[in-house]
Amino acid sequence: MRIPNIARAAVNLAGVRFRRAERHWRTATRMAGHLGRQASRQQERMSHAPELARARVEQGRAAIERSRKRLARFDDHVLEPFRIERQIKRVLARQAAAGGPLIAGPWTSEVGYEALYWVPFLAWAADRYGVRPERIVALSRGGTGQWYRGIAGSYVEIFDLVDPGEFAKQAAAKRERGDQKQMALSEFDRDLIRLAGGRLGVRNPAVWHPGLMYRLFRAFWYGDRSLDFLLRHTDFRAVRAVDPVLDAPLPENYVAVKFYTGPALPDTDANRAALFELVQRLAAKMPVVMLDTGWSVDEHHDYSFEGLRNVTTLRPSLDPKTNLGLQTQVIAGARQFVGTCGGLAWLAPLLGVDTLAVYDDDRYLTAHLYAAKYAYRRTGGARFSTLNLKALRAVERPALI
Amino acid sequence: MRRALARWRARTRDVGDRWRTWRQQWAVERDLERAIEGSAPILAGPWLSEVGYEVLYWVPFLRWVKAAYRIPDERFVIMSRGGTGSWYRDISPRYLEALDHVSPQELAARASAGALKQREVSDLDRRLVERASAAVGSGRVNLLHPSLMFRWFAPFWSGHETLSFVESHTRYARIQPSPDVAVPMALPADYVAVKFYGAKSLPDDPAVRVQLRAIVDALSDRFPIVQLDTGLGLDDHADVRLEAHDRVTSISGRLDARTNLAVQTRIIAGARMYVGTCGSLAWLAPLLGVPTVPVFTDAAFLHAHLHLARRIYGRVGGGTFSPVDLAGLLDAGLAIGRTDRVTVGRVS
Repeated sequence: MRIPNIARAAVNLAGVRFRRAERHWRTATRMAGHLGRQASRQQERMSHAPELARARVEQGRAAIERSRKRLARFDDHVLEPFRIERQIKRVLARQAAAGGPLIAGPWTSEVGYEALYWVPFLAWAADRYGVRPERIVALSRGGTGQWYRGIAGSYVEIFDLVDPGEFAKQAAAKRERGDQKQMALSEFDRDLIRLAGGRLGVRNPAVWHPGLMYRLFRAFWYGDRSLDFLLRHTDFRAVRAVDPVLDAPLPENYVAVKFYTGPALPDTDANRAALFELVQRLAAKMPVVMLDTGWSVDEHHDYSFEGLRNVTTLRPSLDPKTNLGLQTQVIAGARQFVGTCGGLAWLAPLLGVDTLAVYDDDRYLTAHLYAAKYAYRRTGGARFSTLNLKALRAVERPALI
Repeated sequence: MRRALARWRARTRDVGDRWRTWRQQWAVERDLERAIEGSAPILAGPWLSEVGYEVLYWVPFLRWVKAAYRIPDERFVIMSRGGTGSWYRDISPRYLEALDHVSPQELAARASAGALKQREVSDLDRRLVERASAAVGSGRVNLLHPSLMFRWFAPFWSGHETLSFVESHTRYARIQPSPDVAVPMALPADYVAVKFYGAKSLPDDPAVRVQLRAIVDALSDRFPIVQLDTGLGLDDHADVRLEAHDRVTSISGRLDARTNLAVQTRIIAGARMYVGTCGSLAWLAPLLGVPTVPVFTDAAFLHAHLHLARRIYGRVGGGTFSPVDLAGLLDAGLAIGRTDRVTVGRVS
């Protein structure tokens, strides 16, 4: 039996106690350090608390503001146009479902909107709502029946129903009211429909009024509808024109030219000089046929190019009832169309004629240029180019050779 | 019955298209919110794509992000190339130069490989982000990558989204050139800045070059010309080199890649007019307050950009923006200037 070494045991026990105490001390020190750091962090956090809270509140406010704006935007730019679209499509469907002739019109506003939007819109609507051409009666002015070929089986000339002077008076009154676009059915429109109905022997005919198109595409012009939306509600087709019947024959090769005043090409000395020079240069290369009417039923007036060689004018052959039809035929036979960016310039590419559309101010043209250039390219229309007189003047004076 | 079915199908397709576009936009918006959350610095970039998209979309988009999410200046760190810090001055003063970390040759190779648009985060982008993080000296940076903007506005460029969508997610403002950048040459007192390069919108063919030379001649009859032909070849557009002319000063060979855009910005800002290919710096010049004449022959890839540009420059009080479509003039057998005294120059 071994005698226990009390001294060694005591030393061992003391060592164990000591190491335990040391461990406890280390733990306590670590804990104290940890708590201290935590406390200082907490203290720092507390000192930044107002700032952090403010930042959080600010972020929250920004999120609320963003959501509010998003909702408002969604309502303005998505729901409202969608509601209008639904209303319009209901009217189109209701009128299409009614029996008897369907009057498409009366078209009494600008030529440009008719060529660029109204006719392609009608083509789309007739196809979408299954209305056969025999049922559709186009009601327009100036002999534009050929624009509606394949869409409308018949055409009623507004100038057969009312005197051009009366028409011009009504148009001027509408302009004064600031209501040149046919957003809604006016009294004058009602009269025209009634007169056209009388001619067709129909009371209360179904009507697709231009206001449907204006209201549907207004969102596109303001930037609230995409180009894709416009293209999904239009059907751009080539327009075929018959040969013109004129007192004097046209040259074999010629450029058709039509310059009129408007916001895109205001009647200024600088513009007049530039256009005169342009026509002169064109005439030096090829005969020019001017499509000037000499009279006006709207606020646009033709520029005059008197005394230029190699320039003939259609003026003697034109009368209000047939002027647009005849101009269409002359453009269709031309090598190129050069004119004010607007009106017939939107039609010429659909006639297969390369077009140079001239402007000085593109403020009111942006959406139309966007739509036209894209649509013509997509539908295989002729080339549509633009000439900006402002740019030309900036680069050189005299401008063109 | 068939018509009704066709109408129903068309309506379903419309709603489906719309729904897909919205879902894409919501996804981008979520990614955007992730990119800016927290308090770490936000690296906006690295921008290595075309100048035009940077000026017309990226910078105004960043302005909108900053305003809509109320992000303080100090959180934004911009990374771009060519010394374009002044374009971002109202977004953040912290600008990192990408060309400090990547060689011009590498950028040029990337451009010629057709990878110019940053539709996704590339290896090069990742490398630059790492360098930027190190330069910022912060452990972590949030990345606001250009691909987000490209995804965001792609439906507009393809005609599926509205102009008002772009307008409500951008903020346009005038740009001031950096006063600290030195122009490495003496400039005439009153000059026109000209930059023509070959592009899809203005192919470098003999007929076009004759016309461009005629334009430069016509301009030089009235004003000295400063031609912004950098000769750096950092993107896929080669400068159209017009013949030497005593009234035309070229900047070729005088520019450092790292500051070339800053210098060109200063030169344009001091010009009485900017005339050039419709693209790149032609989108910047009106924002510098300089009347601009962008020239093109084919607008196929420009429709959406021209539409937007026509709307915004007037609104921010920029210089006039008067595009010239040469195609129509050439079709009509007309020309600007005196083409009879012009001979065809060499292609660069």
